[in-house]
Amino acid sequence: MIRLPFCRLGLVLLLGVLSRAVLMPTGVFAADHTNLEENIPTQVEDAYPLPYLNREIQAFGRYEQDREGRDLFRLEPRMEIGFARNWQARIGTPFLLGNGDRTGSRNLIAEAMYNFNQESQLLPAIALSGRLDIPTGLSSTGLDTHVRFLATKTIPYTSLFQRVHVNVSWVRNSDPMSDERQNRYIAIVGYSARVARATVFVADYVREQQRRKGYDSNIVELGIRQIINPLTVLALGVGAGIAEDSPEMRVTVGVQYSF
Amino acid sequence: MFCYAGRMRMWGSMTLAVLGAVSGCQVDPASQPIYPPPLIEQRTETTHLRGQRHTTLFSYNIDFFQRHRPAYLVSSGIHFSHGKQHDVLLLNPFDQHARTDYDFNLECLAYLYDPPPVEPQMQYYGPYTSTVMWQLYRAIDWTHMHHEQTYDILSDNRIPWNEKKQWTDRAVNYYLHYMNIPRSPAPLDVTMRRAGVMMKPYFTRFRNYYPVSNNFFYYAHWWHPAIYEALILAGNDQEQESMIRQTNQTGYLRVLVDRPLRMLLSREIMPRYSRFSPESANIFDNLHMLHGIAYDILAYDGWTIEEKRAELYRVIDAMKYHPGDEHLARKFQLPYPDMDPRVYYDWMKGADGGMNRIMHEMLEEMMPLMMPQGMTPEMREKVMAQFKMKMRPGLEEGELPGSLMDALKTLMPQMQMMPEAMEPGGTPQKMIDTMLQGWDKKYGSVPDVSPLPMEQEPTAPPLPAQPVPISVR
Repeated sequence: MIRLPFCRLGLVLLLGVLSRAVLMPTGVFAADHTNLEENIPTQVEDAYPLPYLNREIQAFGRYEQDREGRDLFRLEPRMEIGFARNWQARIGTPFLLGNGDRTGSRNLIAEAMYNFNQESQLLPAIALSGRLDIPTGLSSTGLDTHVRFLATKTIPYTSLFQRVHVNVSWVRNSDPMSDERQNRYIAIVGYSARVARATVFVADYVREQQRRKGYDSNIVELGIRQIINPLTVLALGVGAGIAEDSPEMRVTVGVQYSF
Repeated sequence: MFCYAGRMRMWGSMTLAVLGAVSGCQVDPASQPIYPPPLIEQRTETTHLRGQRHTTLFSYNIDFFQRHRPAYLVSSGIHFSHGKQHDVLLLNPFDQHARTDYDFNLECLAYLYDPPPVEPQMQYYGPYTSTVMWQLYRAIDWTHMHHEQTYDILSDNRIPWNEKKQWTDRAVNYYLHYMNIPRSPAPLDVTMRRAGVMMKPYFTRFRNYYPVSNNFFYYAHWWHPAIYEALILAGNDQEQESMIRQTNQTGYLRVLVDRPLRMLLSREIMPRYSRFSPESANIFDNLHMLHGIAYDILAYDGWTIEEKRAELYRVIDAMKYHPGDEHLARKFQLPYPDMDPRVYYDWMKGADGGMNRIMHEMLEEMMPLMMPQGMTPEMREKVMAQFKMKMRPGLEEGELPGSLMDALKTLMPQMQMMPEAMEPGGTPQKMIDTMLQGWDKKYGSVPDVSPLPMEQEPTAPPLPAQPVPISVR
């Protein structure tokens, strides 16, 4: 009963977004292609939150193939909001399709991030985020938590807009199966740079302990973020796994719209 | 879809209200100074104001870009130049200033020809400066947001002409109260005196040693107000398109090739818009002056980065909004109330005008403190000659090297200065108090400039006849 009005509201917003993003390019800087967002198109995220009172609808779609040839499609719509100064909150739901591991599909994900500082000549920008994976979805039990440390540093003494990023996450599985880890980490090193008047290039290396015990993955990703108009960013990325247990390949497309 | 507009408006308003209550929306600039600079700064960005629907959907936020794209792209090219100039000054040694100036001017022209499709923020092309003087970019980007808001409101023909004022005032209120370092709505005459920069060792550095780049920004500071004046003269209808096109054309064919030799003030270039929104007019003058002072400080090779930051943050704080400044917003006069922004008048081109009148008054106000024993008429003539040369871009024959202070000190070694006030971050408080008293005596009681009637939508005047531009002869 509660879902129906929100579905209609979501349709209105989606139609409005599409018409605004595609048909009527706009001229206000609210979307920011230099502000890296997780999985749009690579996993690395920078340490800067949305500006205060900004609101974005975001979505990404990812195709991934593992070493056994299994396919996994992930579609994740979400909303982000700068609800307080130097804070941002994010809420979303992944939809997983295909014959790969679909555990967690339709879980509700809620995350908040706080940025402690603007970077200086020596000090990087530092942020902390906390995330809850609420088990509303497939084969999910228990409330999983993520705590993530983020750092971003602009390479100094140059007008080439280049940044290095580090993300380190600790993930706790509150109700693991017998073959699952209770605690695991994800470590990412990333790089971004302005490569054209409206384009940012992103690259990262992701080292992740998988949920299943004994499985670790290593992925290299490359992508671009293109600002289409000042409210809309499009992103495209590709990734390849290194060594066993890592996905064979992945392709990601993403979109952000500030409303 | 449209039957939900009302619910969306209510939802948007309620959300903002709740968020505002939780997070404390408005900021009192007086309670959050940026000077002295803290050890660790926070980024603290705030988003742009949404229009009529409390979202970017179906609001005025889209309109200047959508309706006047060629003009929007000029602004985008100008913002590239503003952003990158910071890094150019910090990353290139001063002793190569002539070459740096020449090369960067070419780059500005290239980006005017092929600008970024979306207006860049300062850090996009000036990333190094963002890591050493972040508050400068906050102040600039926040005020550029106000430029966009005010252009958008005038461009949106769904807003009736007689409602433009209330939407603009809403944007002014948001600008002044949602960030801790908005530029003041008081006239530049007041804020320039508060800044107390004239006797600092960096003053006039940029215009004297980087004149070509400096004059590009004088073109830019003609362009911004000229576009406002074109919009306010045109009304809501299609005359906006023709007025903007003709003003832009004047910019390319006449102003860019024969650039002004001074920073033009809002009251000179957009007299009607200044009557319409004097707060915005003064905010933009104060921003344009901040650009010039920032470039002076960055160009000065006598201080370290940390010293430059301290001084720049002092200036940003001094020239920001102080509660009560809104009561001074209309304290200026209009030297050319009937000007047409499509015409490049002779009075726009030279070094003599409103900006240098302000500087001249300030020098006269400070002189009794600096030279209590007085000056001979011959010395006074030399001082004024050096002052005029320093106010003009470039270096002329007979002009003493360095800043205005360096030149005056060379002429008058006995001139009294407060050494601590000349240090980075030092405030020449006695000078400032004396100058503000001088302003109050001259202008404190002048009648406020009258508001612009907005009941009737205007009709654009016919394009005045002008001689063939130099560029096409």
